Amino acid sequence: MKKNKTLLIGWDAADWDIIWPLIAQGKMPALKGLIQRGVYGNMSTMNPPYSPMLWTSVATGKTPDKHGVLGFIEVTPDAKTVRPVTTTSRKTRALWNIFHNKGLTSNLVGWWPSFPVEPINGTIISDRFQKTSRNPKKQTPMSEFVIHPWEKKDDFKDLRMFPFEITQAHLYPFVPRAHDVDQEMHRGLSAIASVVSQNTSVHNAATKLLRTSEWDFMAVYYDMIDHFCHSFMKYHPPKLPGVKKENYDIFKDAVTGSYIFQDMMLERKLKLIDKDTTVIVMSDHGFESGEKRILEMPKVQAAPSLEHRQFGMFVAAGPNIKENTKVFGMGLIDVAPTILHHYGLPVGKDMDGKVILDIFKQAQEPTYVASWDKEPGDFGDLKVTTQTDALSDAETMEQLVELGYVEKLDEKFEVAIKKTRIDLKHNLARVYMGKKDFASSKTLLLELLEETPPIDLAPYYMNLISIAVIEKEFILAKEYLQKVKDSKTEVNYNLHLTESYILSEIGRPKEALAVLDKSDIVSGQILYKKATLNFVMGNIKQATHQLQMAIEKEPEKPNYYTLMAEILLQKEQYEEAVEYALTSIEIVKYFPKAHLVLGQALEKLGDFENAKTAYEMANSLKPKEFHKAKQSLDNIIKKEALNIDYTAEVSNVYHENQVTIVSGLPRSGTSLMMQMLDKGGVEILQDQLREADISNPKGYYEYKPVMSLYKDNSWLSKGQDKAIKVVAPLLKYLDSTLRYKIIFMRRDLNEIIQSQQKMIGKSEQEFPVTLYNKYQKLLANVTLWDKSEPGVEILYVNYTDVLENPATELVRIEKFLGIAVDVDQMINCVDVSLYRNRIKAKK
Amino acid sequence: MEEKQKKVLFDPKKVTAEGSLSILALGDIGFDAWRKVKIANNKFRSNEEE
Repeated sequence: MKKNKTLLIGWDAADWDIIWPLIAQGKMPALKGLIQRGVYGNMSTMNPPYSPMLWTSVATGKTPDKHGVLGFIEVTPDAKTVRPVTTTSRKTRALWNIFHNKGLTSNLVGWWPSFPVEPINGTIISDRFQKTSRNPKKQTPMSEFVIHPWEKKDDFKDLRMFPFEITQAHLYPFVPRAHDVDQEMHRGLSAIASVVSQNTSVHNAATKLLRTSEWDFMAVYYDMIDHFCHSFMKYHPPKLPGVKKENYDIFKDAVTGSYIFQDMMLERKLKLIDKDTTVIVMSDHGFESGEKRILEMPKVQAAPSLEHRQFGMFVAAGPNIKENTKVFGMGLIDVAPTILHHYGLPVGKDMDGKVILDIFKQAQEPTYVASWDKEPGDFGDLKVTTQTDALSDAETMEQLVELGYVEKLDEKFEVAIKKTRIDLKHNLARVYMGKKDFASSKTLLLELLEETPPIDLAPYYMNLISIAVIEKEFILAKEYLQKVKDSKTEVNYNLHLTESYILSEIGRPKEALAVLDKSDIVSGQILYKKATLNFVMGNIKQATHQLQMAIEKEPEKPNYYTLMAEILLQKEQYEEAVEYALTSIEIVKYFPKAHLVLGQALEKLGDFENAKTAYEMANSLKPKEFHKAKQSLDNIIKKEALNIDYTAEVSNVYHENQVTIVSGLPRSGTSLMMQMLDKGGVEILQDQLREADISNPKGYYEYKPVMSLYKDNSWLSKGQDKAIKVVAPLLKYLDSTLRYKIIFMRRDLNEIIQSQQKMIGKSEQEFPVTLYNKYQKLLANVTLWDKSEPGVEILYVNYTDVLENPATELVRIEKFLGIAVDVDQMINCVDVSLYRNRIKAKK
Repeated sequence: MEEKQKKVLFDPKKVTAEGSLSILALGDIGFDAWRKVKIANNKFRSNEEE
């Protein structure tokens, strides 16, 4: 018996949304059995979700920028033509190369891409093995690059099934009314014949190897579910409004048929392995099966991938795998490191994935090697071939074109080559975006903007908008948006959503909401965005309602649950907030914000220990420090050490390098408070550009960069251990990496408005009702904002109390700041004669 | 390896020329058996036609 023997089975596009109902109906017994004796969970994909890139990441543990497979097709090394992607594009070692080096034997069947074959210990039946022509008279003979070792060709050559061999008995389980299909009008049956025959060929080769060879690692890849979904998901129940009833009735069972057949194949493979073999069944992404299904494919590169869903499936069972356990937070990038670890081999430090320790009964600490690519020795690496013709493959190209992944090649090869290069460059830019390497992504996207018609530049502008917003280049984002609006792109982008996103980022939530109201589409994403905007504006009721509808439409989106948890936190419904945060984490474990909100809710419930765990988890999941989580954790530790009541909003503890902010509405006494702090010995961050005037005879204590805080808050560290004046509407733009003590000045709103009216020369008799309401809402929002910012503590100080009872108020302030101030000097600042606008009635 | 084949509950006599997904799901052995029946059947039919 071989130790740690592993069978990895790839089901492209398999999705839990289809699997669970079939398991419940008893139609996928083999997978059900595996789940019962193993672990299962979501498998998170990467962007862009193109299968050759994803399956190469599965096999290498690296992102496409490192492994080099960037799309469905590649330019040949002689730059004369293009062809379906081959192993030559891969520039890093895969699992089977590492196993080869370690003297282990691997079998590989149908992996995408595995052609041309690599000379490893074991057998490779490459992804070209099963690709045959539909025309029996046009079969291309297998080349020596299809099977390794080539001497085994006779064992496998007769295991290829051809589409013309498919019979009615093969078709009926997928299409019970196959005889009603008008094949002149609908190519569905022909597509099924092609997919079923190819996957049968793969299965035949796999079972042959399982029966007749000794191996340590085996990987088999099936594209059946993906291809069935692309052809027939639109006919899958429930019927979509735009689908003809006749077609729906005929093809509605096709998708589930593919899952059932795949399960039958799994059952067979499970019978052919030893009980000590570890089995992994996984997909690279899911597939939309709800109302987001696409009936009319847009004309963009690899358009069918728009139907892919973020989460695929993962099941593993074996001697050292936990039983009947759901595991969270797996990404396909983690598969290779986990498998290496399972074999007791070190993980490459240059791999982007990590070992999923949660799946093991007995987990060992992973070991590491700098890079498997730099290790000396024989790895069964591909001998580079320049024989372009030998690697060209008309059958595969034909299929990619039919599926819509690749456009029909232009007769002029130079056009096809140029188009391919552009697409691969764009894919790389998107990979960099996914890795948050915006500089590299931007460089490529800006280069792509130099392309001329007929190249559609809109997709590049859309990516650049996202980057510009992240980098707070809002004017640029708007310019790019205008370029998309002006372009003649055939793609129907939801520009309302994009525009709304930009507006909300520049602090104009009301306008952002108005833009969304113009959208005819009411998708989950739009409802979520509306809910976010309403939440920011304090419209909790609307936000809750919209979020409930968004969750109903797209129940698999973790950010929807996290926002609901945040709302519930504000509503002080802490137990419910915990539930929602946990649901979010159940969908995606590696979602730092969900752990932060969970911690905040637990803290409010007084469960400090679990809150600390949640904050620690949130902090550990961010590539850089997650300041909010760290600050929350510090708060708990300080509260525990000082035995402060857990419900206390302010700690009265000095935080190292804290920034003191004086805030409030204009004319609420902020300048007075700044003057008091100044006299009390607190250093002030100001530029004295605005001179004292009749409205503020003792000066404004302002600092110009505060005015543009919304677009640049990087200077705030200059305010550490100093005091700065920041008006209330700008508080939300504070850099959350720092600690703040905010003295928030409160004054009767009527007095504030009258004072402002007077200052700008307006009649005090004309009372601006709208402004009054706006201010009221703004003040409410500050309170809401404070609750979600662990780095912020606010002390509310009434202007009247400062004037009438300064000593008491200043003791509170001194205690709040946690630093010694000269209270006597501060009291001397109070000049009641300046308090000119107090409402007489109140006196 | 021989032992693994014995585990399969599979009666070649029940394989028809039409085939079935169940036979295909058995992999190489099922496929091989079906193809043999199919070829034999085709020969029989072409002999009849002659």
